[in-house]
Amino acid sequence: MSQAFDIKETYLKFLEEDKDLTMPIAAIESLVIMLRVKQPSTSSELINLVKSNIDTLKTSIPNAISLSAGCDLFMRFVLRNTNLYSDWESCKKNLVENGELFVRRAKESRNKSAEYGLPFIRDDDTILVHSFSRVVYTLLKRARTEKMVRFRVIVTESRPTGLGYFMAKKLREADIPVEVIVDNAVGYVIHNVDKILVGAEGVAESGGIINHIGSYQIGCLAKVNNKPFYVVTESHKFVRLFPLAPNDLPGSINRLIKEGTEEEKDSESMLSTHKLDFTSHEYITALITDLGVLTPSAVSEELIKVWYD
Amino acid sequence: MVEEQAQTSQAKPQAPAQVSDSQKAEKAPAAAADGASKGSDDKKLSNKEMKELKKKEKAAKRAAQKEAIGISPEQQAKNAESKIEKKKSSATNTNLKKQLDQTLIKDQGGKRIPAIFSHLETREQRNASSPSISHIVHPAILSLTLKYSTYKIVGSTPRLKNMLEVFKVVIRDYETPANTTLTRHLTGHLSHQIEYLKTGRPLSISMGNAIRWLKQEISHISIDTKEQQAKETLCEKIDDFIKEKIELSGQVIIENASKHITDGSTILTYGHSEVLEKLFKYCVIEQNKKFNLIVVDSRPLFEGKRLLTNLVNTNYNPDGEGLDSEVESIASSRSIKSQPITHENLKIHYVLINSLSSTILEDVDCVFLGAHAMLSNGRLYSRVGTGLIAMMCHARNIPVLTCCESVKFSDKVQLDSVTTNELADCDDLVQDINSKKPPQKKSFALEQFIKQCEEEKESKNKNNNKGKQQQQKKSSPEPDAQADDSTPLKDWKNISHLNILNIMYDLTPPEYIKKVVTELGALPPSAVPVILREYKNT
Repeated sequence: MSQAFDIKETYLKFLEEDKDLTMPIAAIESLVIMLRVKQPSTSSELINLVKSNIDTLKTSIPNAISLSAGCDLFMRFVLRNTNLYSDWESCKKNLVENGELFVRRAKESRNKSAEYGLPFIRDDDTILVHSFSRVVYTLLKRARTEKMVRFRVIVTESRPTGLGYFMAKKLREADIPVEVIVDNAVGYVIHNVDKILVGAEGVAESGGIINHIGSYQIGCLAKVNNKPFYVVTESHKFVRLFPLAPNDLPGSINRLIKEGTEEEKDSESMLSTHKLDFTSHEYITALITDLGVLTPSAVSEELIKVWYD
Repeated sequence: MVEEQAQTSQAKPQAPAQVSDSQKAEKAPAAAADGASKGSDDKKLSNKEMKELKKKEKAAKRAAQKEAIGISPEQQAKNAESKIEKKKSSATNTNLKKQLDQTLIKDQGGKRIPAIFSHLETREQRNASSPSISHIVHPAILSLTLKYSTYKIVGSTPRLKNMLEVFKVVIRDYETPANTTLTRHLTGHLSHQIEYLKTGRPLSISMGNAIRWLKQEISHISIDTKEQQAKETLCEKIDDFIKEKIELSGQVIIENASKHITDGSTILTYGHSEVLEKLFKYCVIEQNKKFNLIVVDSRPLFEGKRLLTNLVNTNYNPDGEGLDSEVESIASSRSIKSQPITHENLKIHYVLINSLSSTILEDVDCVFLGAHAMLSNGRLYSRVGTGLIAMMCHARNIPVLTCCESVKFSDKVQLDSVTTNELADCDDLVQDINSKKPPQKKSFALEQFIKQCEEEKESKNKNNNKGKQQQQKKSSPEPDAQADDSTPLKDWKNISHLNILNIMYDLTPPEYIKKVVTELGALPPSAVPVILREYKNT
């Protein structure tokens, strides 16, 4: 049919249309659309099609970690389903239908995560939040409006993106008292904080998280001060990655070294390009997900279950 | 059993005339029931082993009785020996020798291990444990046992692989005796072979897992299958097992782990591991990476040297595809381009474990460790010294990675390296202090034979020239002193209060390990039980 189908454009369009959509869901959704448009005629063609589209998506989008989580999950789903059905037509039909079901479920998972997180927020709490996260926002908003919990929130500024201001604005709209602090004031306020909530770009196999830069130092401070550090996230953000150090993320190390040597004068780019870091599992108290409240080590269990069933 | 007894005892008063009969009748079912209950207790024991067990029990009882009467254990031993010799006049030569060996060993006493490790089996005890089955052991097993005990084959993976290959030979040569089926008899036959194999060295965890798998496979064969066909399917299954669990999983692990070796990085490794050797070769040959490798080694096995020589002997053609020197040494000598991988791409430092200092660890990016087993509490059971390295690197914030196939996963829980370990020969530590070569070992039987000959000589000397003995004693200290100069511990067995401990493995706590790379993916050590669970289900 239409050969001019562009996976990247579809993906970006999805993100544009729905501000609440996360990257992995958008990726899965655009892949489902792609399948519907392209109508592959054999299973190998289907698999190749999905593979090539995933590759173009991964390479064309700069920040591909949570995106790749969704893509890998969908690929896994495709591979399992093609083996399941003997009849090609029903297989294809099922794939598209189930793909949509998959997307719907993934969308619901944010609310589910928030549901599990509600008991964690109590009256008179002071909660430190880093950067903007849709799940954390949903959780806090529901705690305020549904449970009528009275708590206050401290949001970090979250350089270089400055998403902390956006988070503060949205929370103020939800009638929650908010205070914005600069990123390097975390140590100053941590004594008065009761708990820390962060979202995640991706959850690594060890149970550590890949998140907005600065999460790692907050994690360290939380550990030293014995403050609980909770991660609120959806299970489709579990990725098959296992970074060893905070800067051990795909593509980020090399860039850091290169820029350090070649573009020393151009310090602007150094400041603005690094948006993610890795917080290893020992700093995380628990992960609040749509599968329930998990310890970091339970993540690998869930991942193994998904991949080796 | 109780009911039967009750019935017979009820029968007693009713028929007093038949007392003797009823007593007999009472004894018989009781004994039968007793036997049955025993049989159910340890079903795993074969008939033969049962008999042996009973024999031993009887012997122990008799010994106790005799001792009560006043016969010393030494006399008992002598009596027993003479009895045995009478009995076994018809037995094979090897059997006799074995029996003799056993008595020789006990003279030696072997209490030279620190008390905390005294529960572990020494080499002598291992060799003495199953002397009576050597005549039903397949020759291939005999040679394999020898290779194990002389460290010709070391390392969990090579040992597993070789064992499975030998099992294939055993299965091919096996013939089911009359009145039994292959499914029932072969397991027992294999058990005997394994029993003998254990006298070389204790089974590794991976071997235990593979044996369990193989026995299960044998039991799944239907009785109606023809023998030849059953044997063939078993051999095929073993081949598949080797391919799937060792070779392919090694490949997957290598691909996964190679991500952590980047251009210009410094990697540290300890000893020798099959997977890691392949990993380093793969990174150079296939991925064209240049990196530094620090090989840490230790006495007495010097496995790091093996890694070193294997790497040095690997050639590589920078322009074309990689060449393996062992296969194409002639070709490589012709073409000028191919050169050893250590020439440009791989820089190796070789150090001993006691020189592991701050300067060496300064710019290490990553540590790769081999594994003997992963225990279900996330602890790594590996060559002694691994724990030390992991601890040092953890203290310096260097990530410690271990590569481990899932056959090596064990559901055991162990908290220290004392409860279960392997004692190697103490002489390995005493000899070869110049460290030029790994311990050269004689086979155990040969050692015993030499000892026997020497003793015979001595006894002859004693009988023939008792008068000369004192002179000999006087003259003997001088050459001894000379020998002492060269190796001060040569005579260590006669020095009282000197214990020498040569332990094979240690345990690394999970805190020190960042990541376990398996064929199922990379995991934190806390996820080992998950693998065990999922792995067992499939």
